[in-house]
Amino acid sequence: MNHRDIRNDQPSGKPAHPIPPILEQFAEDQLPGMETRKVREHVSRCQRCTQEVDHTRKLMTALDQLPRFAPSARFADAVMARVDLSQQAVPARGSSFGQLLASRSGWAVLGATISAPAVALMVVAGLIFSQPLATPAVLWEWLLPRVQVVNEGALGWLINQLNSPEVRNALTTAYSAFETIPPVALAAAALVFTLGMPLSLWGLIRLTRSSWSGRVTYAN
Amino acid sequence: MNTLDLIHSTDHELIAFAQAGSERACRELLNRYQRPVFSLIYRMVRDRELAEDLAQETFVKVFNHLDRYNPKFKFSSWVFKIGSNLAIDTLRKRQLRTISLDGSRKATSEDEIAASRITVASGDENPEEQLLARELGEELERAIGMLRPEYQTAILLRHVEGRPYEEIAGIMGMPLGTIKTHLHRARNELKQLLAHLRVGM
Repeated sequence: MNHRDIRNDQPSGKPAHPIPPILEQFAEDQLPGMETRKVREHVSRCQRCTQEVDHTRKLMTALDQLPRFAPSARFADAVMARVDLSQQAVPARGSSFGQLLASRSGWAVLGATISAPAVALMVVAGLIFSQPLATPAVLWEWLLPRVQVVNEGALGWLINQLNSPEVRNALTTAYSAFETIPPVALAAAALVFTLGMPLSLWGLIRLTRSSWSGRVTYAN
Repeated sequence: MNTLDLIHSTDHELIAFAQAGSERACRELLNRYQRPVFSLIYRMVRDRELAEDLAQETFVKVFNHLDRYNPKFKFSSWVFKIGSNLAIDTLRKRQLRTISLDGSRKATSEDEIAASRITVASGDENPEEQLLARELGEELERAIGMLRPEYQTAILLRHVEGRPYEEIAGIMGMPLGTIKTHLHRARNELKQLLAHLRVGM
Protein backbone atom coordinates (compact mmCIF):
# COMPACT_ATOMS: atom_id res chain seq x y z
CA MET A 1 0.00 0.00 0.00
CA ASN A 2 1.61 3.33 -1.01
CA HIS A 3 0.64 6.96 -0.53
CA ARG A 4 -1.84 6.81 -3.40
CA ASP A 5 -3.80 4.02 -1.72
CA ILE A 6 -4.60 6.03 1.38
CA ARG A 7 -6.99 8.94 1.52
CA ASN A 8 -5.90 12.14 3.22
CA ASP A 9 -6.19 12.22 6.97
CA GLN A 10 -9.49 13.54 8.13
CA PRO A 11 -9.58 17.02 9.72
CA SER A 12 -10.43 15.44 13.08
CA GLY A 13 -7.06 13.70 13.08
CA LYS A 14 -8.56 10.20 12.70
CA PRO A 15 -6.50 7.77 10.59
CA ALA A 16 -7.10 7.78 6.81
CA HIS A 17 -9.30 5.09 5.24
CA PRO A 18 -7.76 2.68 2.72
CA ILE A 19 -9.11 3.35 -0.78
CA PRO A 20 -11.96 1.00 -1.89
CA PRO A 21 -9.84 -1.21 -4.23
CA ILE A 22 -7.46 -1.89 -1.35
CA LEU A 23 -10.35 -2.76 0.96
CA GLU A 24 -11.66 -5.05 -1.78
CA GLN A 25 -8.33 -6.83 -2.10
CA PHE A 26 -8.23 -7.14 1.68
CA ALA A 27 -11.73 -8.68 1.65
CA GLU A 28 -10.51 -11.11 -1.01
CA ASP A 29 -7.26 -11.97 0.85
CA GLN A 30 -5.26 -10.69 -2.10
CA LEU A 31 -3.05 -8.18 -0.25
CA PRO A 32 0.56 -8.97 0.68
CA GLY A 33 1.19 -9.79 4.37
CA MET A 34 2.49 -6.39 5.49
CA GLU A 35 -0.38 -4.49 3.87
CA THR A 36 -2.91 -6.98 5.19
CA ARG A 37 -1.74 -6.27 8.75
CA LYS A 38 -2.04 -2.49 8.25
CA VAL A 39 -5.50 -2.71 6.72
CA ARG A 40 -6.71 -5.22 9.33
CA GLU A 41 -5.56 -2.91 12.08
CA HIS A 42 -7.46 -0.03 10.51
CA VAL A 43 -10.60 -2.05 9.80
CA SER A 44 -10.73 -3.35 13.38
CA ARG A 45 -11.05 0.24 14.59
CA CYS A 46 -13.18 1.70 11.76
CA GLN A 47 -16.90 0.91 11.59
CA ARG A 48 -17.27 2.32 8.09
CA CYS A 49 -14.49 0.16 6.63
CA THR A 50 -15.71 -2.90 8.56
CA GLN A 51 -19.12 -2.44 6.95
CA GLU A 52 -17.55 -1.99 3.52
CA VAL A 53 -15.48 -5.16 3.90
CA ASP A 54 -18.56 -7.09 5.11
CA HIS A 55 -20.59 -5.96 2.12
CA THR A 56 -17.81 -6.91 -0.27
CA ARG A 57 -17.42 -10.34 1.34
CA LYS A 58 -21.17 -11.00 1.16
CA LEU A 59 -21.16 -10.13 -2.53
CA MET A 60 -18.14 -12.33 -3.19
CA THR A 61 -19.68 -15.25 -1.30
CA ALA A 62 -22.90 -14.90 -3.30
CA LEU A 63 -20.93 -14.76 -6.55
CA ASP A 64 -18.79 -17.75 -5.57
CA GLN A 65 -21.97 -19.78 -4.97
CA LEU A 66 -23.46 -19.17 -8.40
CA PRO A 67 -23.99 -22.52 -10.10
CA ARG A 68 -22.58 -23.65 -13.43
CA PHE A 69 -25.09 -24.48 -16.12
CA ALA A 70 -24.88 -27.55 -18.32
CA PRO A 71 -25.45 -27.53 -22.07
CA SER A 72 -27.88 -30.00 -23.62
CA ALA A 73 -27.13 -33.73 -23.68
CA ARG A 74 -26.44 -33.65 -27.43
CA PHE A 75 -23.82 -30.92 -27.06
CA ALA A 76 -20.70 -33.11 -27.33
CA ASP A 77 -22.06 -34.99 -30.36
CA ALA A 78 -22.97 -31.73 -32.08
CA VAL A 79 -19.44 -30.42 -31.56
CA MET A 80 -17.71 -33.59 -32.69
CA ALA A 81 -19.85 -33.73 -35.85
CA ARG A 82 -18.19 -30.46 -36.94
CA VAL A 83 -14.63 -31.36 -35.94
CA ASP A 84 -12.16 -32.66 -38.52
CA LEU A 85 -9.32 -34.36 -36.70
CA SER A 86 -7.99 -36.07 -39.81
CA GLN A 87 -6.34 -32.85 -41.01
CA GLN A 88 -4.29 -32.75 -37.86
CA ALA A 89 -3.54 -36.47 -37.79
CA VAL A 90 -2.19 -36.68 -41.35
CA PRO A 91 -0.52 -33.55 -42.63
CA ALA A 92 -1.25 -32.92 -46.31
CA ARG A 93 1.65 -33.96 -48.55
CA GLY A 94 2.41 -31.86 -51.59
CA SER A 95 5.39 -31.46 -53.89
CA SER A 96 8.86 -31.57 -52.38
CA PHE A 97 9.18 -27.81 -52.88
CA GLY A 98 5.76 -27.39 -51.24
CA GLN A 99 6.90 -29.50 -48.30
CA LEU A 100 10.04 -27.38 -48.05
CA LEU A 101 7.91 -24.24 -47.75
CA ALA A 102 5.49 -25.91 -45.34
CA SER A 103 7.97 -26.05 -42.48
CA ARG A 104 10.07 -23.46 -40.73
CA SER A 105 13.21 -25.53 -41.17
CA GLY A 106 12.46 -25.59 -44.91
CA TRP A 107 12.21 -21.82 -45.00
CA ALA A 108 15.48 -21.61 -43.05
CA VAL A 109 17.26 -23.82 -45.57
CA LEU A 110 15.84 -21.79 -48.42
CA GLY A 111 16.82 -18.54 -46.75
CA ALA A 112 20.35 -19.79 -46.10
CA THR A 113 20.71 -20.96 -49.70
CA ILE A 114 19.76 -17.55 -51.01
CA SER A 115 21.60 -15.60 -48.36
CA ALA A 116 24.98 -17.32 -48.59
CA PRO A 117 26.01 -15.98 -52.04
CA ALA A 118 24.42 -12.66 -51.20
CA VAL A 119 26.60 -12.16 -48.18
CA ALA A 120 29.71 -12.75 -50.29
CA LEU A 121 28.42 -10.34 -52.91
CA MET A 122 27.69 -7.70 -50.31
CA VAL A 123 31.15 -8.04 -48.80
CA VAL A 124 32.74 -7.52 -52.22
CA ALA A 125 30.46 -4.55 -52.90
CA GLY A 126 31.31 -3.11 -49.51
CA LEU A 127 35.04 -3.46 -50.14
CA ILE A 128 34.75 -1.81 -53.53
CA PHE A 129 32.61 1.08 -52.39
CA SER A 130 34.81 1.70 -49.38
CA GLN A 131 37.71 2.64 -51.65
CA PRO A 132 38.40 6.39 -51.55
CA LEU A 133 37.63 8.51 -54.65
CA ALA A 134 36.01 5.54 -56.35
CA THR A 135 33.21 6.47 -58.72
CA PRO A 136 30.90 3.84 -60.22
CA ALA A 137 32.44 4.44 -63.68
CA VAL A 138 35.97 3.92 -62.42
CA LEU A 139 34.92 0.86 -60.45
CA TRP A 140 33.14 -0.59 -63.43
CA GLU A 141 36.20 -0.01 -65.57
CA TRP A 142 38.28 -1.77 -62.93
CA LEU A 143 35.85 -4.60 -62.37
CA LEU A 144 34.82 -5.48 -65.92
CA PRO A 145 38.19 -6.79 -67.28
CA ARG A 146 38.70 -8.82 -64.12
CA VAL A 147 35.26 -10.38 -64.40
CA GLN A 148 35.98 -11.14 -68.04
CA VAL A 149 39.32 -12.71 -67.16
CA VAL A 150 37.67 -14.85 -64.49
CA ASN A 151 34.87 -15.83 -66.84
CA GLU A 152 37.25 -16.66 -69.63
CA GLY A 153 39.42 -18.65 -67.27
CA ALA A 154 36.46 -20.57 -65.89
CA LEU A 155 34.95 -21.20 -69.27
CA GLY A 156 38.32 -22.20 -70.67
CA TRP A 157 38.77 -24.69 -67.89
CA LEU A 158 35.32 -26.08 -68.50
CA ILE A 159 35.93 -26.34 -72.22
CA ASN A 160 39.19 -28.15 -71.64
CA GLN A 161 37.50 -30.51 -69.23
CA LEU A 162 34.68 -31.36 -71.54
CA ASN A 163 36.92 -31.44 -74.60
CA SER A 164 34.00 -31.97 -76.89
CA PRO A 165 33.59 -29.94 -80.08
CA GLU A 166 29.79 -29.86 -79.68
CA VAL A 167 29.93 -28.69 -76.11
CA ARG A 168 32.76 -26.31 -76.98
CA ASN A 169 30.75 -24.81 -79.76
CA ALA A 170 27.68 -24.54 -77.57
CA LEU A 171 29.60 -22.91 -74.76
CA THR A 172 31.35 -20.56 -77.11
CA THR A 173 28.02 -19.56 -78.55
CA ALA A 174 26.60 -19.07 -75.06
CA TYR A 175 29.58 -16.99 -74.05
CA SER A 176 29.27 -14.89 -77.18
CA ALA A 177 25.63 -14.34 -76.32
CA PHE A 178 26.59 -13.41 -72.77
CA GLU A 179 29.06 -10.86 -74.11
CA THR A 180 26.25 -9.18 -76.03
CA ILE A 181 24.39 -8.37 -72.78
CA PRO A 182 24.92 -4.68 -72.11
CA PRO A 183 27.01 -3.98 -69.00
CA VAL A 184 24.20 -1.77 -67.65
CA ALA A 185 21.79 -4.72 -67.61
CA LEU A 186 24.34 -6.84 -65.78
CA ALA A 187 24.89 -4.10 -63.25
CA ALA A 188 21.12 -3.73 -62.72
CA ALA A 189 20.76 -7.49 -62.11
CA ALA A 190 23.60 -7.40 -59.59
CA LEU A 191 21.98 -4.43 -57.85
CA VAL A 192 18.58 -6.16 -57.55
CA PHE A 193 20.26 -9.28 -56.25
CA THR A 194 22.22 -7.30 -53.67
CA LEU A 195 19.18 -5.39 -52.44
CA GLY A 196 17.14 -8.59 -52.14
CA MET A 197 19.67 -10.25 -49.90
CA PRO A 198 19.14 -8.22 -46.73
CA LEU A 199 15.48 -9.25 -46.94
CA SER A 200 16.50 -12.90 -47.12
CA LEU A 201 18.80 -12.46 -44.13
CA TRP A 202 16.02 -10.78 -42.17
CA GLY A 203 13.70 -13.69 -42.97
CA LEU A 204 16.34 -16.19 -41.95
CA ILE A 205 16.93 -14.46 -38.61
CA ARG A 206 13.18 -14.28 -37.92
CA LEU A 207 12.73 -17.92 -38.73
CA THR A 208 15.58 -19.12 -36.58
CA ARG A 209 14.52 -16.97 -33.62
CA SER A 210 10.92 -18.25 -33.63
CA SER A 211 9.66 -21.26 -31.70
CA TRP A 212 10.05 -24.42 -33.79
CA SER A 213 7.48 -26.41 -31.87
CA GLY A 214 4.35 -24.47 -32.65
CA ARG A 215 2.55 -21.18 -33.04
CA VAL A 216 3.00 -18.69 -30.27
CA THR A 217 -0.33 -16.92 -30.50
CA TYR A 218 -3.80 -17.79 -29.34
CA ALA A 219 -6.34 -18.62 -31.96
CA ASN A 220 -9.48 -16.54 -31.86
CA MET B 1 -5.27 -46.17 -24.33
CA ASN B 2 -8.49 -46.88 -22.41
CA THR B 3 -11.10 -44.51 -20.98
CA LEU B 4 -9.55 -44.62 -17.52
CA ASP B 5 -6.21 -43.49 -18.98
CA LEU B 6 -7.91 -40.54 -20.60
CA ILE B 7 -9.68 -39.54 -17.41
CA HIS B 8 -6.36 -39.45 -15.58
CA SER B 9 -4.49 -37.71 -18.38
CA THR B 10 -3.49 -34.07 -18.13
CA ASP B 11 -4.93 -31.52 -20.54
CA HIS B 12 -1.62 -31.41 -22.42
CA GLU B 13 -1.58 -35.18 -22.83
CA LEU B 14 -5.15 -35.13 -24.09
CA ILE B 15 -4.28 -32.38 -26.57
CA ALA B 16 -1.40 -34.51 -27.86
CA PHE B 17 -3.79 -37.46 -28.30
CA ALA B 18 -6.33 -35.21 -30.01
CA GLN B 19 -3.65 -33.86 -32.36
CA ALA B 20 -2.88 -37.45 -33.26
CA GLY B 21 -6.55 -37.86 -34.23
CA SER B 22 -8.14 -39.25 -31.06
CA GLU B 23 -11.82 -38.36 -30.88
CA ARG B 24 -12.07 -39.81 -27.37
CA ALA B 25 -9.42 -37.35 -26.17
CA CYS B 26 -11.50 -34.50 -27.60
CA ARG B 27 -14.58 -35.83 -25.84
CA GLU B 28 -12.70 -35.98 -22.54
CA LEU B 29 -11.60 -32.34 -23.00
CA LEU B 30 -15.22 -31.47 -23.80
CA ASN B 31 -16.34 -33.30 -20.69
CA ARG B 32 -13.96 -31.18 -18.61
CA TYR B 33 -14.74 -27.78 -20.05
CA GLN B 34 -18.20 -27.75 -21.62
CA ARG B 35 -19.99 -26.71 -18.41
CA PRO B 36 -17.72 -23.80 -17.43
CA VAL B 37 -17.55 -22.48 -21.00
CA PHE B 38 -21.29 -22.86 -21.56
CA SER B 39 -22.05 -21.21 -18.19
CA LEU B 40 -19.85 -18.23 -18.96
CA ILE B 41 -21.41 -17.70 -22.38
CA TYR B 42 -24.97 -18.35 -21.16
CA ARG B 43 -24.64 -15.75 -18.40
CA MET B 44 -23.33 -13.26 -20.93
CA VAL B 45 -25.84 -13.73 -23.75
CA ARG B 46 -28.83 -14.82 -21.55
CA ASP B 47 -30.21 -17.05 -24.25
CA ARG B 48 -29.78 -20.80 -23.89
CA GLU B 49 -30.03 -21.59 -27.60
CA LEU B 50 -27.61 -18.86 -28.60
CA ALA B 51 -25.27 -19.82 -25.76
CA GLU B 52 -25.27 -23.42 -26.95
CA ASP B 53 -24.47 -22.32 -30.51
CA LEU B 54 -21.61 -20.10 -29.34
CA ALA B 55 -20.22 -22.76 -27.00
CA GLN B 56 -20.31 -25.26 -29.88
CA GLU B 57 -18.53 -22.76 -32.12
CA THR B 58 -15.91 -22.30 -29.41
CA PHE B 59 -15.05 -25.99 -29.19
CA VAL B 60 -15.19 -26.51 -32.94
CA LYS B 61 -12.63 -23.70 -33.34
CA VAL B 62 -10.51 -25.19 -30.59
CA PHE B 63 -10.43 -28.74 -31.96
CA ASN B 64 -10.03 -27.71 -35.59
CA HIS B 65 -7.08 -25.46 -34.70
CA LEU B 66 -5.27 -27.48 -32.07
CA ASP B 67 -2.05 -26.84 -34.01
CA ARG B 68 -2.34 -23.19 -32.92
CA TYR B 69 -2.43 -24.05 -29.23
CA ASN B 70 0.58 -22.74 -27.34
CA PRO B 71 1.44 -25.14 -24.50
CA LYS B 72 2.99 -22.27 -22.54
CA PHE B 73 -0.57 -21.29 -21.59
CA LYS B 74 -3.33 -23.27 -19.88
CA PHE B 75 -5.69 -25.00 -22.27
CA SER B 76 -8.64 -23.70 -20.24
CA SER B 77 -7.42 -20.09 -20.68
CA TRP B 78 -7.33 -20.58 -24.44
CA VAL B 79 -10.85 -22.02 -24.51
CA PHE B 80 -12.23 -19.27 -22.25
CA LYS B 81 -10.55 -16.63 -24.40
CA ILE B 82 -12.19 -17.93 -27.56
CA GLY B 83 -15.57 -18.38 -25.86
CA SER B 84 -15.68 -14.97 -24.20
CA ASN B 85 -14.51 -13.23 -27.38
CA LEU B 86 -17.29 -14.93 -29.34
CA ALA B 87 -19.87 -13.90 -26.74
CA ILE B 88 -18.65 -10.28 -26.57
CA ASP B 89 -18.55 -10.02 -30.38
CA THR B 90 -22.08 -11.41 -30.61
CA LEU B 91 -23.40 -8.99 -27.99
CA ARG B 92 -21.82 -6.06 -29.79
CA LYS B 93 -23.06 -7.10 -33.21
CA ARG B 94 -26.61 -7.80 -32.17
CA GLN B 95 -26.90 -5.05 -29.56
CA LEU B 96 -28.93 -7.46 -27.49
CA ARG B 97 -28.48 -5.57 -24.26
CA THR B 98 -31.10 -2.97 -25.02
CA ILE B 99 -34.09 -5.28 -25.11
CA SER B 100 -34.47 -7.09 -21.82
CA LEU B 101 -32.75 -7.01 -18.47
CA ASP B 102 -34.43 -10.06 -17.00
CA GLY B 103 -34.05 -12.86 -19.44
CA SER B 104 -32.95 -13.21 -23.01
CA ARG B 105 -31.85 -9.98 -24.60
CA LYS B 106 -33.65 -11.22 -27.69
CA ALA B 107 -36.90 -11.69 -25.78
CA THR B 108 -39.53 -9.13 -26.63
CA SER B 109 -42.60 -10.48 -24.80
CA GLU B 110 -43.24 -11.37 -21.15
CA ASP B 111 -43.45 -15.07 -22.01
CA GLU B 112 -40.12 -15.05 -23.83
CA ILE B 113 -38.49 -13.18 -20.97
CA ALA B 114 -39.82 -15.66 -18.41
CA ALA B 115 -38.76 -18.63 -20.53
CA SER B 116 -35.19 -17.41 -20.83
CA ARG B 117 -34.72 -16.04 -17.31
CA ILE B 118 -31.87 -17.66 -15.42
CA THR B 119 -33.21 -19.25 -12.23
CA VAL B 120 -31.10 -20.53 -9.40
CA ALA B 121 -32.00 -23.53 -7.25
CA SER B 122 -31.09 -23.39 -3.57
CA GLY B 123 -29.82 -26.27 -1.45
CA ASP B 124 -30.56 -24.62 1.91
CA GLU B 125 -32.95 -26.48 4.18
CA ASN B 126 -34.48 -23.61 6.16
CA PRO B 127 -37.42 -22.25 4.14
CA GLU B 128 -36.59 -18.66 5.09
CA GLU B 129 -32.94 -19.10 4.13
CA GLN B 130 -34.02 -20.89 0.98
CA LEU B 131 -36.18 -17.94 0.02
CA LEU B 132 -33.42 -15.44 0.75
CA ALA B 133 -30.80 -17.47 -1.12
CA ARG B 134 -33.11 -17.89 -4.09
CA GLU B 135 -33.99 -14.22 -4.09
CA LEU B 136 -30.32 -13.24 -3.88
CA GLY B 137 -29.32 -15.71 -6.59
CA GLU B 138 -31.94 -14.47 -9.01
CA GLU B 139 -31.26 -10.81 -8.30
CA LEU B 140 -27.54 -11.43 -8.66
CA GLU B 141 -28.04 -13.12 -12.03
CA ARG B 142 -30.19 -10.19 -13.11
CA ALA B 143 -27.60 -7.68 -11.91
CA ILE B 144 -24.77 -9.52 -13.70
CA GLY B 145 -26.84 -9.32 -16.86
CA MET B 146 -26.83 -5.53 -16.60
CA LEU B 147 -23.05 -5.20 -16.50
CA ARG B 148 -20.92 -4.34 -19.52
CA PRO B 149 -19.74 -7.53 -21.31
CA GLU B 150 -16.12 -6.93 -20.25
CA TYR B 151 -17.15 -6.57 -16.59
CA GLN B 152 -19.31 -9.69 -16.86
CA THR B 153 -16.43 -11.71 -18.26
CA ALA B 154 -14.04 -10.54 -15.56
CA ILE B 155 -16.45 -11.10 -12.66
CA LEU B 156 -17.59 -14.52 -13.89
CA LEU B 157 -14.05 -15.74 -14.53
CA ARG B 158 -12.95 -14.50 -11.12
CA HIS B 159 -15.83 -15.74 -8.99
CA VAL B 160 -17.67 -18.53 -10.80
CA GLU B 161 -14.55 -20.07 -12.34
CA GLY B 162 -12.12 -19.00 -9.59
CA ARG B 163 -9.41 -17.88 -12.01
CA PRO B 164 -6.49 -15.80 -10.68
CA TYR B 165 -6.18 -12.16 -11.76
CA GLU B 166 -3.15 -12.85 -13.96
CA GLU B 167 -4.94 -15.58 -15.88
CA ILE B 168 -8.00 -13.38 -16.40
CA ALA B 169 -5.67 -10.72 -17.83
CA GLY B 170 -4.30 -13.34 -20.24
CA ILE B 171 -7.75 -14.58 -21.22
CA MET B 172 -9.11 -11.08 -21.84
CA GLY B 173 -5.89 -9.79 -23.41
CA MET B 174 -5.75 -6.80 -21.07
CA PRO B 175 -3.17 -5.49 -18.58
CA LEU B 176 -3.47 -6.70 -14.99
CA GLY B 177 -4.29 -3.17 -13.78
CA THR B 178 -7.23 -2.95 -16.19
CA ILE B 179 -8.60 -6.26 -14.93
CA LYS B 180 -8.39 -5.03 -11.31
CA THR B 181 -10.24 -1.86 -12.31
CA HIS B 182 -12.88 -3.87 -14.21
CA LEU B 183 -13.44 -6.12 -11.19
CA HIS B 184 -13.64 -3.19 -8.78
CA ARG B 185 -16.14 -1.32 -10.95
CA ALA B 186 -18.17 -4.47 -11.60
CA ARG B 187 -18.43 -5.20 -7.87
CA ASN B 188 -19.41 -1.59 -7.17
CA GLU B 189 -22.16 -1.74 -9.78
CA LEU B 190 -23.38 -5.06 -8.39
CA LYS B 191 -23.49 -3.63 -4.85
CA GLN B 192 -25.55 -0.70 -6.07
CA LEU B 193 -27.89 -2.94 -8.06
CA LEU B 194 -28.39 -5.25 -5.07
CA ALA B 195 -28.65 -2.58 -2.38
CA HIS B 196 -32.43 -3.04 -2.09
CA LEU B 197 -32.24 -6.70 -1.08
CA ARG B 198 -33.31 -7.88 2.38
CA VAL B 199 -29.99 -9.63 2.94
CA GLY B 200 -28.37 -6.17 2.95
CA MET B 201 -25.89 -6.59 0.14
